[in-house]
Amino acid sequence: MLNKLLIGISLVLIAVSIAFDVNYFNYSTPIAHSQNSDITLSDFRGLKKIGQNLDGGNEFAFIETEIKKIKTNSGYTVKALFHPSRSYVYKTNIIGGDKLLKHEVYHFHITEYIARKLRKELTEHKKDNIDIDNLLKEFKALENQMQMEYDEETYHSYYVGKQLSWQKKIDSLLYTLNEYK
Amino acid sequence: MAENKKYLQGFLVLGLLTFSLCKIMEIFTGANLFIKLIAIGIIFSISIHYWLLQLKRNISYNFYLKTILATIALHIVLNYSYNYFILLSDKYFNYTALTIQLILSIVPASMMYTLYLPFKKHINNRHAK
Repeated sequence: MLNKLLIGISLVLIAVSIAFDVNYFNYSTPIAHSQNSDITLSDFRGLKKIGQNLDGGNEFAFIETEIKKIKTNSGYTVKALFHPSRSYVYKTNIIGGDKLLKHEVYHFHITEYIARKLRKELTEHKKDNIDIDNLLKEFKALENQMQMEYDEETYHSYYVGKQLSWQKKIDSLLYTLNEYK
Repeated sequence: MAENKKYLQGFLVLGLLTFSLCKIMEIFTGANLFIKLIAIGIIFSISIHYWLLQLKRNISYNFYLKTILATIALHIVLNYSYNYFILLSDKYFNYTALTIQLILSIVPASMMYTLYLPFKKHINNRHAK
């Protein structure tokens, strides 16, 4: 009886914690980068962990993106995805929310840039026997580093000048790999 | 043999409870790995202490150390499975969301029924009289 009670309590607690990682109460399937222009702040459906803050402040947003490998008939391809139920914004109708949204969407553009780089690598080495998992790991590390640099240099969109120069940089990087869309 | 099975069961159940408590703690405090490991050790040692007192077994220092190490190992396994589940979740959450909505609609209905039961009994009793 005690065992059953403890297992029950644990499962309830785990179910509660999962909701803070993926908000399944307000779930939406991942959005591909090709639909990035449709993203609005109301797509940020995730929950914030209660103790989480940004340098002591509670007014912030975060975006969860992913590079996902997908098996096809001719091998593998990769996709950049945005996870609405894992991304969070403190309020959806913010005055000047465009600035915040732009900053977050550019995180997604960085993910797409790295996905395109990976697609290029896969196309160029199509006939070679390459380890896709290792390659994915390597590119994900690269993406993490770039995302961190972006946040550090723009201070989460606070430095407008830096934000604009990063936007230009990311746009041109994406343009250079346009054929790997 | 039976006692060993009971002990193993207890260990797994308490391990699961410790893991879920840690996850909840993470939500409330954003605790880092080091604090989490210490907390797991403390929560689990206390739990296993009471568990073993119930089983009337002696608890040695060595035993404590082993249980704490085993808990950390169990925690790593559970954490890995949890993260793996979150990674795969998009395959399942569409169905999960539907199921939850269904459950949420069933709960108030069953609560209403439970509330209605004493009245039903009362009415039946009145008719019996």
